[in-house]
Amino acid sequence: MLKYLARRIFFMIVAFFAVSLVTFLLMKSVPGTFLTINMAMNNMSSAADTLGISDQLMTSLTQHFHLNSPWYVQYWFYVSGFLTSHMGNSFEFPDIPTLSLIERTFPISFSLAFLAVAVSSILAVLLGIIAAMRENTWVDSSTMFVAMLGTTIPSYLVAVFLMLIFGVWLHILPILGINGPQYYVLPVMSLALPIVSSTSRYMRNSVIESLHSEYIVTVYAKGGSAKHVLFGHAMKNSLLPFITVVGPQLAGLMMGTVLIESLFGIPGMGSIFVNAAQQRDYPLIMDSTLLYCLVILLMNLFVDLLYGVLDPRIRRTGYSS
Amino acid sequence: MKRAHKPVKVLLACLTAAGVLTSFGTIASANTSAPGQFSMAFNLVDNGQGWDPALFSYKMYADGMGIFEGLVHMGPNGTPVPGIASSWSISPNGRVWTFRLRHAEFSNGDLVTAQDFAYGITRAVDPNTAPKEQGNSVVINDLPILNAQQVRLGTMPDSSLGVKALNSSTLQITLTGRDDNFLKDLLLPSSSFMVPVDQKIVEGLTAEDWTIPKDVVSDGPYMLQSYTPRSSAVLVPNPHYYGKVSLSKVIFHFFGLNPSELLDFQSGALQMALLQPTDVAAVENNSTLKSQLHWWPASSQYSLEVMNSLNTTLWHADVRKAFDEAVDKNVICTNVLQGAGAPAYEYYSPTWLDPWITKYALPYNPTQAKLLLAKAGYPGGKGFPTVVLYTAGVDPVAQAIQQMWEQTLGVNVELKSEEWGTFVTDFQKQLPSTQVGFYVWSTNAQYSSLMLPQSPDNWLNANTSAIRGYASPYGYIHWMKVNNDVSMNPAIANKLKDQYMWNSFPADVKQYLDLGIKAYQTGSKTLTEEFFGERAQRAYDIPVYTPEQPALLSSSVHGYQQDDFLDNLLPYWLNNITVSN
Repeated sequence: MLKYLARRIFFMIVAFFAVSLVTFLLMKSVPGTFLTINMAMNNMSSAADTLGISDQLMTSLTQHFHLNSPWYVQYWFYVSGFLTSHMGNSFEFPDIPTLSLIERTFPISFSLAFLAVAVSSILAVLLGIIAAMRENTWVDSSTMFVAMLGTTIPSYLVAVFLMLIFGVWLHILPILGINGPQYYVLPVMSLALPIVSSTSRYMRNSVIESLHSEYIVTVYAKGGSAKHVLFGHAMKNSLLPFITVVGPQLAGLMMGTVLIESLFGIPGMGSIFVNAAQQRDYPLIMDSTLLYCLVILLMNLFVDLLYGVLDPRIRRTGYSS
Repeated sequence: MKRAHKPVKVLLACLTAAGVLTSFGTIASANTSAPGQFSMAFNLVDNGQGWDPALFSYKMYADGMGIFEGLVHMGPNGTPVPGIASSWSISPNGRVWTFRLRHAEFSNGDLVTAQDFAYGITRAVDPNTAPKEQGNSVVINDLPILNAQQVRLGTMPDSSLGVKALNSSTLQITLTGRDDNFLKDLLLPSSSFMVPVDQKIVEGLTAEDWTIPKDVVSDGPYMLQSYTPRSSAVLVPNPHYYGKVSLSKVIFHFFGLNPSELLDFQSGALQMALLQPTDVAAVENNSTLKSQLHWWPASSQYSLEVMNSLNTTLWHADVRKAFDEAVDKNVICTNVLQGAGAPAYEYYSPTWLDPWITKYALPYNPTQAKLLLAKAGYPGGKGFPTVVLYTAGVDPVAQAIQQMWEQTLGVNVELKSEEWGTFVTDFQKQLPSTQVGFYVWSTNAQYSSLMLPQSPDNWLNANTSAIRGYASPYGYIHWMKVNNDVSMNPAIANKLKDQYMWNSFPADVKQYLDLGIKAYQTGSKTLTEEFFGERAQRAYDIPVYTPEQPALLSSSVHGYQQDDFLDNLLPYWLNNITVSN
């Protein structure tokens, strides 16, 4: 297993640098720079909404981030800064370290995505098992129909429905901000419900396949109850394909929190990331992209290691299969 | 073999439990406002910077609403009333204002003195404050304080600023010229830096300390209780405030224009919410909501500015007038914007601020527009260069304008709807000789007296966006080069830029400016009107509409006076607001 782990970490490092390089090159090739945007905003007539930073500050940021140096110097500066947690300050928020911005916002986005995956997993397992145990009955079809609705309805529509029902009509859940555990309920459900569909179908199909296996017949023949069959044998085998699907969901959800954060007024990383891209805030773009990349790579590694926990055959072969 | 019913029973049990909890409302309680408590959306993205009134950030507006109090504040009847200054006198020439301060205290109990005012204002004007605090400088152009521009440029020392503490309770402000509206100028959102700060506290603060509520010492009726960056802030009464405090708690929610504000208002989370135009139909179908709907004029006017080009066709006034008169602004406001706009005629002067501007307005007159274009040598648009129209994002108004120009004038119009960063890059480019162009821009409304040119340099600095189209192609290229060179000394750069621009302007622009300078020097209202009227008549830019913002204000809220100079219509003064049960 250690060999497997070492190999995976090596590939993760390669992937990390590949993503960072591609991000950097894409970022630099997009028309417009923070400088041109800043200059245009500075040149706005005296309205009280000028957001241009001063020329002295721009000079200082240009020097600090080596904006006049060759591309490889700039690239290495960003990456080494990220790896050593010396990311510097962003262009848009020059008095706030990028790390501080990320520290404030990343946990919120991550916890939303993580909770959404957890809730959707529980619901998906539940619905999948119910549908599988009642295969080809009205319970199966109606469960899958309800789950299918989740696929067709986008998360922002689900969010609006939930806000309407629980916030406006019933007045029992808050719909604005993030000031306590109850504030997480609706955003998490908005993210979780749409993905319950696809994951519950995976679970259903997986459980059905397991239940139709010969070893299950043997369990019944030996006098095992349905509960024993399901929880003692079928479920463990059914979870493997399920986890394959769920693992990357976390990464996808983290990207997908942008709209939910906007609807619920949540100060997550999604809005910072979108704004940084619009403003060409290179340090913030690089740091947030690299962070997402790291999270996705770690999640994939975690999922792969989880296979070994669930399936001793994989453990015994040292993950070579 | 028995079929297991347990999973079904478990599911049904869960659903029942959820239903019971839902019906009894025991899960959690939504945001609902208590009496005396006011909650609103700030509708501006919080950049996470602190509450320092000497630095520009959107929170500076919140500072001026009641965290910090200046010399005057907005009274319930819409005019300036005494704030920390209990009275004032004006010199015969109208330039020297002497304010006598009342006994007032900061939130830590320290006395508010004239020296605190002088320190706070000087600190805001000082060019070293923003770089030191890694923030943005406040705008100082809107207040005609003596030597403020020079101090900011670094050509004069701080001590020369026209703000002096004569003693601990008397503050004297010297202006560059007579300004009978000075008290109203002090209520502009950009004037939020004209407040006292506790010098001995502020000198020990870092930039980050300004984000920590207990470190922010202020003199207004409210003080910061809590602040979650990019999320919310809570204000509570300042126990040392000299007067009565009307609200027990104020909650700001920071987010950009939130598409779900209508829902937030209906849920009780907000008592003031700005709506999208698409929400209006739903509101008008609900009698309760309809009674709480207001239409407030916003500040920034959607306008078209001329791009710089190798082709100087748009330098001809008749050509520009043709384009202006081919735009049916009423149709845009009623049909495209669904009533969420009013026609605009001058770049800085919306009709709600300067109703007199309508007498100088260029009317919608497609027949006249065609004649003007023909007179300029392009009958039916024949031979006219391609017109490019740059805008950011999806812009139905720009689409309507494109259609109007093509149908009325017979010109070929290319609409370029671009992502923000690309748009900001592209509109600064110089167009080739086969093209002329406009870009969509907007600026906040402003008192016309404050926008008069004091000198060519001063006007150029304030109007760069508006006049880049009138620099000669050669002058513009050199101007851009200097503008983008961050390594150049700013004072030298500004001088060079002004030279390139000024030397390359056509004669009519310079002659127009002379009228403005004369209006400034004489303080004549007639000449001021003439100056801005000329701008409208010559169509140096094409203002299209002033937004009318639909807003919901809870019927339990009284005394809310929206600041029309801000697009997000924040209240002028929180302490004028009361909230009943």
